[in-house]
Amino acid sequence: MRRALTVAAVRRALTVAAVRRALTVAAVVGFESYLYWQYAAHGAQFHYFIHGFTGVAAGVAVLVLVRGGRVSTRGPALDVVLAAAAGRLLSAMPDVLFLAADLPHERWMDVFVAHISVHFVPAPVAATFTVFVLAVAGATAAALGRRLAGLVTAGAAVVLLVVGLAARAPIPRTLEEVRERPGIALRCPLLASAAIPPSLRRPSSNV
Amino acid sequence: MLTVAVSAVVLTAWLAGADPRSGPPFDPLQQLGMFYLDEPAPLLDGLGHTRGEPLLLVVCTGCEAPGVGGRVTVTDDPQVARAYGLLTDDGRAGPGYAVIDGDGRVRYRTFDPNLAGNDREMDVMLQGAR
Repeated sequence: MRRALTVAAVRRALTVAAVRRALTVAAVVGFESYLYWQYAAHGAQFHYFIHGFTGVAAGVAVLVLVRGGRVSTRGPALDVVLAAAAGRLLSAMPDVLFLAADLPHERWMDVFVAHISVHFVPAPVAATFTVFVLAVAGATAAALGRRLAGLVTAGAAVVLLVVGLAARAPIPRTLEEVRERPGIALRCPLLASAAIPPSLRRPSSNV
Repeated sequence: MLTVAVSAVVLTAWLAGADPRSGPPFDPLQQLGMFYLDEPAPLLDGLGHTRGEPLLLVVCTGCEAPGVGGRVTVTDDPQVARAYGLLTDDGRAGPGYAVIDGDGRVRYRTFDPNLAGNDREMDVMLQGAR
């Protein structure tokens, strides 16, 4: 009797939907872990986060907006996951090209979800993370059947990203500009490092 | 969707509690890997540059030349470091590097605290300047 109950419980747990959900979570975690490992190996965690946030947000927000707030409401919401993965891969493409094809970044690579310009938005990590949270919240609302809330929130994510890009700092073209205007992408990393004595942790006039 | 939402909440909490000076994801180690500069390289005569051949100018104290396929000059000269925006306000030269193309124009410059581990990145930039 007890064995029969156990078998029944296992069968219930192993429904198709549950297996799909578990596989989806495993795939996402594995994929992101691999990407983080690759970025971290180059000391480029900053890039992992800003391009990850931007890419996922763009994929998810576009899906919600294009579909008028209608996304999967059952199971692991594969359409949302696939849209997020597509945006994620697109935003990482210049880094893939750098590592796999020895191709330095170029300004036209902004076609990959603003890959270049997003470095220069104000407070890039915080800004892109906010965009990411809004987009995910929008997709969540849509998946819960709240289409209007999903549309408004996903739209807010897009608007915030566009505003941030419009307010981005210009990319310097000369060393004098580099010296005079320490941009976020050009700051000396050591000055903010925990390994540097506190007395040296002050803005540099040279970077 | 619940998984994604929970992940977002956890990530929010983690980011909100992170010390901006504690390292990733806030550390400003964010080399662009892009030729964003385009001007005549300063102090070029003393750097061993040969016309038609790009040069990797490494600015640091006590470091070895990286293993790249091309001409490399290593210097800790404060004057060079200042000219290339690689002198900190405490007078430290680098660590960082600049890429000068075959026409003698500086195309890239970045601080890099892990010069010894980033040979490949430097090589990509140097080859890209050809």
